[in-house]
Amino acid sequence: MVPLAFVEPGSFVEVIDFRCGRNCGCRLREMGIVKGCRYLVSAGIKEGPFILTDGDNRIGLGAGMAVKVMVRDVTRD
Amino acid sequence: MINKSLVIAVAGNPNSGKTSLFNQLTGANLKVGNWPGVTVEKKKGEVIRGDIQFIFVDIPGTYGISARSEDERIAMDFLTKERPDGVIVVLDSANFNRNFYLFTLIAEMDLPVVPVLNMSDMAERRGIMLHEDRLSAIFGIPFVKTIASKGKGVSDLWEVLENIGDLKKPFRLPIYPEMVESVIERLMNQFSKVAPSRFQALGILDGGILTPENEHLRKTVTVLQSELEERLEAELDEVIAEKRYEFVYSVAKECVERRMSTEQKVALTDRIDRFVTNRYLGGPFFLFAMWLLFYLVFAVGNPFADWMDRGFSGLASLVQGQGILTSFVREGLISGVGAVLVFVPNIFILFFLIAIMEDSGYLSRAAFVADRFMHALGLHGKSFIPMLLGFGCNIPAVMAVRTLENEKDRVLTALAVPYMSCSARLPVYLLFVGIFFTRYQSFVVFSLYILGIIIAVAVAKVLRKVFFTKAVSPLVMELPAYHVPSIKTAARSAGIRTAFFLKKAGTFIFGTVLIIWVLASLPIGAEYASAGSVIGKIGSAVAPIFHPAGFDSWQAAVALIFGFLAKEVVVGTFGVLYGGQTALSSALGSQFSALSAMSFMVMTLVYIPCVATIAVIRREIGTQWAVLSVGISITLGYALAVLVFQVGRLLGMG
Repeated sequence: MVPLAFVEPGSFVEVIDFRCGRNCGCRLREMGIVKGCRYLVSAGIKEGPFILTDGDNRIGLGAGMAVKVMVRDVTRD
Repeated sequence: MINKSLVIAVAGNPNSGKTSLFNQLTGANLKVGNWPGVTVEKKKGEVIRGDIQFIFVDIPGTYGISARSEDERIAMDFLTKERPDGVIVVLDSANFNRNFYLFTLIAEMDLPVVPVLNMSDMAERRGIMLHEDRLSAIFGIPFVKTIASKGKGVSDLWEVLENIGDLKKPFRLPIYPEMVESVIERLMNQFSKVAPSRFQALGILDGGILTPENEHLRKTVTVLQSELEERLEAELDEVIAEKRYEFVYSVAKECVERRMSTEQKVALTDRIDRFVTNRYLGGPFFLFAMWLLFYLVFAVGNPFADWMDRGFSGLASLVQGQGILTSFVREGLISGVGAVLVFVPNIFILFFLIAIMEDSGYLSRAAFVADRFMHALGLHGKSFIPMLLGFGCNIPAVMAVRTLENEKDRVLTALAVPYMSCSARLPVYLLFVGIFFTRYQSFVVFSLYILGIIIAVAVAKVLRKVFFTKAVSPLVMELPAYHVPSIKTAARSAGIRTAFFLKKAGTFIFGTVLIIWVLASLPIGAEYASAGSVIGKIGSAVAPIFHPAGFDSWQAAVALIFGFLAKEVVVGTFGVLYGGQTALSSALGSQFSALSAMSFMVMTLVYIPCVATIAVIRREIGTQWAVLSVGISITLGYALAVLVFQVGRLLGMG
């Protein structure tokens, strides 16, 4: 498990945890970033910002957020 | 005869086509755009069908319903406190899961709900089939498929709305663990006033979305929360959200079919994103896009502007004679208002291109690219959207700060927006660059726009240091799929905004120009628009202040004083005082140098936002901030104008 900020753009990730307050976790969920789900890191700059993509849902996460979203790299799965 | 009146809320995720549907239902012409947060306040539209009066209320687009940001608070208050007779929930079909999450929240509110599967064409093109019949069967309420932008499916929706009284409650709702369910029931029974529905009971439970005012309830809830969390061995808000998502996924599994690989289409947006958000190319691409925008404002707009200019000159030469009325028509009306109207073609093109940028989906990418830069300067990445909208008009831009979740970000952004060059400043730039910088017109104007951005972020950075020490809240924003912008939509949007500009020219600017003309004609016997006229005396009294900035003519002082009302007035004032566009060029040419023209443009850009913007800032963030904004902008505008002139002179440019 690593922060999203450590992942290379182009990888597939599974979201494991949100290391932030209730409000911020809630905001992410409402926008469709859900623990246990897989996303493509479709674009971004190493360390952030990143774009997480699931089908047609694209969510941009700033550098500050990319260190709070813990993911597992599942590109090879 | 009207038999009954129904209030119907139109809710949905941002960018779900909510405003398009609202326009279709009400025949209104509200602005639509491909970026989150087009609707930042409730908009109403009334329609009478048969004997029913429908009052539609377009509430701000939200992903959830809580009190975390201003737009969500507006949406929540309307749905839970004003309790409309029905809620249309607009769902973006291509983005079912996220959109359906909001539906589950609203379904728990115990209101008649009409789900609309919008943009079904786009979903189908991407191989996503939604089975509205299955959805209707599962929930026991009709799901209506629409393509709001083309008006398709709207008649089916009307049919449902006309019989909204017969709608049942949705059959199926998320089911929570038993102990949570029993607490929901208990809250609803015991505190039916604050928790009349499952939504409100859950809102109170999952971390105080609805702050319980009642002390007894607050204590009860705190005890219940910790008890539940202990027994569930997890945080309550997470458990609730998890169950809601489980519900969403189970419905999607039954009713959403992905027929073919969506990769090809998806990849196009992602490929564009990889380029426009690239670490090295993203910034330059943004600057290039902005430069292209201003280049086109000139290249396409100028021939038309010249044509209008010749028209006004011809018109002025037709008005012969000496009387008061003749003087008013020639000097006041044609020269004053005409001087502003000449730039309508450029302004139309500016609005058109901004609309194209909004419609394509690039606007939110610009905010995304700017995040790092903005973050370093103490602003939220999303603040960039209101700032860019400020290029059109500062008023809606200040209102767009409502989409920011954090109050500090809202305040800082509202204070930064007025430094963005709005379309009212453009005529001033166009007038001066046309005289002094003929070869580098678009470059000079482009640099003024960039200067505006730099000043805006610098002001925000300093204010954050002084007033708010807490770190910037991190960026989370939706990046909608790109689509080919519609020329028709952009032209319509530009038409509406240009019409507003024309209306302003015909009323507000006309009125101001009239006052200036009267003051320039008084006292009786004094030469028109001379230093001996009333306006000449006012201007002469103020003018010395501007001496260090290089423009100390009384006319420039008058233009700046009245420009406080609206910045187009600066040009209008020169028109009235110097008499028409042609005379204007030679008069300004002799009174200004290229350097003092530059310092005057910087002054116009920075000093004081117009009256209407100040009023909106006051309404959005409060009186003391509005006063601060005026104070800072006047001081800064003057200081920068002096700096430009003095440094320029030292470098031998004067």
